[in-house]
Order: sequence, then C-alpha cells, then structure tokens
Amino acid sequence: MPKITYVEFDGASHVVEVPVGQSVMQGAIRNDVPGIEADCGGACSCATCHCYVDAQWLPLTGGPGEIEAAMLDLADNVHPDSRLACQIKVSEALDGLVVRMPKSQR
Amino acid sequence: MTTTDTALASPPAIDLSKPIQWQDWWRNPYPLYRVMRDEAPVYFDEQNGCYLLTRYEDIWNTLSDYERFSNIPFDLIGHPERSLTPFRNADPPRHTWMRQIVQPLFTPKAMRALAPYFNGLADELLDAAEEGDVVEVSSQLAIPLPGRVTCDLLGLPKERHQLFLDLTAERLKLLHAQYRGIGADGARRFEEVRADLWAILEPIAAQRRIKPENDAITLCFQEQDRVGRDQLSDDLVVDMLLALLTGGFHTTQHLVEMLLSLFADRDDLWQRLRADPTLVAPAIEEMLRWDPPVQALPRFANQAQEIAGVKIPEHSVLYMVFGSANHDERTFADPETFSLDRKINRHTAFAVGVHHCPGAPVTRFEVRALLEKMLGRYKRIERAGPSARMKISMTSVQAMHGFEKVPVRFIRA
Repeated sequence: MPKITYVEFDGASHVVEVPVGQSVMQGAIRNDVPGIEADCGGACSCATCHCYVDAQWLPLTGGPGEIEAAMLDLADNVHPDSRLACQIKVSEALDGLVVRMPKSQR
Repeated sequence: MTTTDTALASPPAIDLSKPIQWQDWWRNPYPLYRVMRDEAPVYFDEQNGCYLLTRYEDIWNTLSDYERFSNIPFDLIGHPERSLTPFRNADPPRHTWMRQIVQPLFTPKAMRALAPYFNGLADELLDAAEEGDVVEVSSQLAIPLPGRVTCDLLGLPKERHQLFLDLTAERLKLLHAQYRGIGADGARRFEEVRADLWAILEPIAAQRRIKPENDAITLCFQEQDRVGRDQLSDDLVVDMLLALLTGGFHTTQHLVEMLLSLFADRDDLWQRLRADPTLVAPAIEEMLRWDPPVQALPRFANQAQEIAGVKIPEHSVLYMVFGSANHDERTFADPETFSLDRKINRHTAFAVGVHHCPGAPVTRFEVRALLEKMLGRYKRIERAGPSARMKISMTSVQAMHGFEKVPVRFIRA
C-alpha cells in the first residue's frame, strides 16, 4: 500500500499507508493526522485540506483542476505547489509522496 | 450541560420500541441520541415518517453522497422556483453555480481582511452592553452581532438592517406556512412582503451596477447581468440573499449564547482562555461539536438503499442528526466532556459535503473577535440569573438548539 508522509506546520511528520483510490485527504482523516480539516468531506467546496506537494512529486500529482483552482484562489498562502488534498487520488506511483500543511486551514 | 439543564441529570427512561416523546428532550437530547446510536442507529420515526441517522460515520457517508441523497424535497423536484431556500434545496450543478456566485465573500482569506471590521463591531457591542449592570447576552450581543454582520455582507445600508431582518423573518414564516399548506390567517400576503423587500433592494442594486462593492448584492446582480434574468430572476436573487441572511443569523446567535452561558458556569474555562487566547478557536469548535445550534437537517433518498443494515425505500426522508454525530463515542473520545484540548475536532455542525456551510468562516471570525475582545476586558463572567433554553414545539427531532435569555454580569479586569 502506498505510504504518504504528512508534515504539519510545526514539522511533526506522520507516515501513513493509504489504499490506492482514496484521496490524500481521506488518508489524513482516517488516520487522525492533524493539520487537514476537510470540512466539506471531499466535495472541493471548502479549501480546508490545502497542502503543499513536495517539488519532486509535482510532476506525478499534476496541478489543480478547474474547480480546485477556483477554490484555491480563495485560500490563504497559496503557492505554485498548492493542492487540495481531497483532489489528489493515491496511486502506486505516489508511494512515498510528501505533502506539507499550512499553519491554519480555517 | 449547563446549570439550567442539570435538573435532567436523571433523564426519562428510553424505550425505542415505543414512540419517542420528543417533548421530553428539548433541553438535552443527548442521552436519547446515545441510546439511538447504540440500539437503532438508523431509526424510523413512525410519527413523522422519516429516518433518523445518529452515527457519525453514517452521517458523514450520506452527506458526502449527494447523487443518492438529494437536497431537493420530492414535491419540489422540477420546481426550483418553489425552493424554501435556494442553496439548501438544490443539488449540483445548479447548487454549485449559485454557491460559487457568493462564496468569495465568505472565505477565511476574505474574513482575515475584515479583522478590523469584526474587532470594531465587537468593541461597539460590548461598549453598549456594559452600560447596564446585567447583560442579557441574547438580545445585547448574540442577536446584534450576526444581524449586523450578515446585513453588512449582503450590502444593506445600516438604516435598512432592522426592516430587512423583520421582513426576512416574516417571509420565512409565510414560506414555511405555504410549503406545509397551512393558511396564515391575518398574515400579510406573500406578494406584499416580497414587494417590500424588493423596494429595499432595487435602489441598492441600481447603485451597485454603477459602483460595485464587495458585497453579496453586487455579486448576485453582476451574475444576473452575465447570465440574464431568465436564469437568475430578481426573485431568485432575493431568495439567495435571504437564505444567506437566515443561514448566518440565528445559528451564530445560538453559538454565542451557548458559549457565554457555559463560561458563566465554568470560570475554569474562562481563566484558561485568558491565560492562553489561542484557545479561543478550539473553544468555538468545541461548542460547535458539543451543542451544535443546528441539530439536524434532512436529505432525500433518490433510490432504495441500505444503511447500517437497514433498508431505506426510495423517496424516504432521512434526518442527519448532527447533535448525535458530534457525540458519537466511536469518533470522539469522551464526547460528553467540553474539552479545549481536542487537537482534531472534525464535527458536523456545519454539515459535510457540497452543502457544507459556506458561511462557516464568517461565524468563526465574528465569534472569535467577540471572545478575544471580551478576554481583554473581563476577568470573569458571572451568572445573573438562569439561562432560558429556546423552547420549540417538539414533535420530532429538533432542528435548532439555543437560548432565549442568558443574563450575566461582565466583571472588568
């Protein structure tokens, strides 16, 4: 099962196994990883699962889709490597993915 | 719960094989919810012909599945113009379109830019409240705060706020009566109320077309100009503005009442907040979990399905009991305790899924500003009389929880 590393704003790191097909957001909330709120539960309508994808993984995750980009426009501290974790689907190719969370989602 | 509720330390016996006596549970429904979660997590309420979901995971999954669990009541299918509330009684893609029109106003980013406004409003309300000895939280803080904020975000001039709020309440009452087929004798006609609302909005809309502002009226009429009146009628704009106002008003009101009522009883919590104001945000989240103002909302099953082993027929009405989900011991450790130390608090107070409350950041920021200002001013909140729960006629699971009166004294630091 792919391993995803979630790094909180303060540097605390959580490595969890996430089944293929689930989202990076689901991996966080099902394993009680702090720093991703996911208020809307994956509907791409709240921007509270904002994360930064480590540069080496960006070619594999790709950039945000149209609705996701519109939601990211409304979030704080958006960088070129920003994504909503609910919109990144976990695959074998993402085994080892590292995402970092902003200081606050709300 | 609070001092006023401790009389219910011995709740009535619960036998789910008999019809639930809802009127016994309006103060404190949580013991009932616990038994429902354990014994009948998908409970069929025969008296009301609906299913009640009480476990966190079932509610989360149902709310996340808008294709099978719709927000459109069956008798409104094909009649979007009859929606009680245009956001809540719609599904994607129509819902997504309406939501995206106004969403930019309500984001955390937009709220942070409004920090001086929220702080100024909190100071103004507290200055006025301090003039008397006893502060009645409900009428002096909890109602004026979201009343002002929602009207300002809509873009209404201050001198029109009260009239607009009164007309909104009147119209909502008429809409509910009309929807339920109840005649409202002696009430004004629907068209008269709508004409009064339109008389307020029309000149503002005309002004905003010349000089756009950062408000909901501007955004709605800009969208109307873009898509045409066929798609976004004047009536729908009015409905959308009213839905935003009602969505953000009494909900936030009750949150403020419940927080301050609790702090009047629990000085230990107030002192912890004073020592560490970064706990204000967790305190707000915890109240939203512990006693959410919106206790339950419905979804409508598009097809026959099964939840937790219970067969749900097509066209069933299912209530998501948020108050119960937030106390589900399968998800929250020690759920009956109000704790400032929950690092993760993914409650359902604002719902989950595409209908997650778009105004959640507004509530969070306005209440945070109020509490932070209070922490700077008051060393203690003392109770000046019992809090009075809002009593609603309970014939089914309740929709809203809150107080009518919360008399306290603010003791200056």
